[in-house]
Amino acid sequence: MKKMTSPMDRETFGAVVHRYGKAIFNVAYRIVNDYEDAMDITQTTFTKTYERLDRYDPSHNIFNWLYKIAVHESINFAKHRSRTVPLDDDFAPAPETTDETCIQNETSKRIQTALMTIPPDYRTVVVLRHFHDLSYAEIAAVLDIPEKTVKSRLFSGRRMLRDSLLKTGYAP
Amino acid sequence: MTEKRWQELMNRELDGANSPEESAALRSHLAASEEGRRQFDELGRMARMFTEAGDVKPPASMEAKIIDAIASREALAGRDRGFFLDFLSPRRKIAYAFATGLAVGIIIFIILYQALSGGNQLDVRDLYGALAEREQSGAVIDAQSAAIAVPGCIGTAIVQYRDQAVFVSASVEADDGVEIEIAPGAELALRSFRAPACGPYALRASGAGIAVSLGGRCEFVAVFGDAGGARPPVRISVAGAGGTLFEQTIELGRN
Repeated sequence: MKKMTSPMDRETFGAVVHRYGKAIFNVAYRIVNDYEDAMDITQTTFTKTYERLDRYDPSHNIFNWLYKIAVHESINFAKHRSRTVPLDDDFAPAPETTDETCIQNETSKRIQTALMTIPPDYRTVVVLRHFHDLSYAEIAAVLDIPEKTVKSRLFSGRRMLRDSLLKTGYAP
Repeated sequence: MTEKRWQELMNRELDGANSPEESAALRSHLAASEEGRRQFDELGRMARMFTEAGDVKPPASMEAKIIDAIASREALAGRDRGFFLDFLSPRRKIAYAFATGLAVGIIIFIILYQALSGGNQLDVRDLYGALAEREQSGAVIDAQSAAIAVPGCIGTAIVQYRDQAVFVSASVEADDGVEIEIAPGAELALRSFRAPACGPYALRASGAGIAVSLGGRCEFVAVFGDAGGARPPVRISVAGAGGTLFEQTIELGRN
């Protein structure tokens, strides 16, 4: 497939950004827990996707491809940050906000705080399953891991999440 | 069924992944297990929390920023294309870089080789020496020596009759102007001459053999031969300013 280079092509890709931008932003946000970082990751995801369009196989859903790049970028970011700024087990920062406030309800904040206490690999599976309603097979395809691993991480992630919620006094 | 298996079935039920039989088995288990019901309810409530949490709204400017970023990168790539060959794939870039490096390396090697070896001029002494070494591999049929002990020159000459050649080596100490002549006759031609440990000397070849003019200490080897494998007598003579000082003829199988 030829890389899209004409203004019309960019406009076409603009429609892709419009359609999937919010979902990709939410994947990144739920994994990295930072509004600005999620913005950067979303932008990186779309620019990388656009630059690699010549490698895109049109027989596959472009959304899965976007997910793949977004998740990869987010996990890398989260792991790098966890190496450089270790978090205390009993403390996870609340989401940062900007003027364009990310409006979250109380439940959203609680679940996000709990999410940040579990390892990124487990967190990602939980996010893709619960926030994006991906099946085991779809998650396996996005993460390039076996379905068995998806289930194992999902079930363990839920257990860790429940423990975290209980620890903070919020019983699910 | 183990507790771990029930846990798995609960999770799968939540994800809608159980078969009808598995769902029925789980329902039976939950009907009989208060702890099981509690755990399953807990999972269900947690799943609802995700639904209630909903999506986080990204900034309204996000789409425009992304499109701007793409346009900027495209413009930048267009500007750089002429300098960084962006129209080439990464693999081609590596291949071209490798080929260019190889070509440059070969050119540098040729230049250095010519500079160190004196260009196209052949070193006759080295060439003869290489030939002599190659012919040294032949078996020795006979070897005889001649002791030279005359005023102005002292040393030894050895004649070796080999499979493919006749070697004449000499190690002498001579006054300036002494000339040593090695004459195997017209049947043999000089194939090589090497004087690895010699002061200034002059080599003169003729149809009958060679003459080496030297002064001081000198070691040399001369190789003679022909296609027919002739083994004629070799005359060795030493001459000074006053005429011939020493002369001896070596013959194959004489001793």
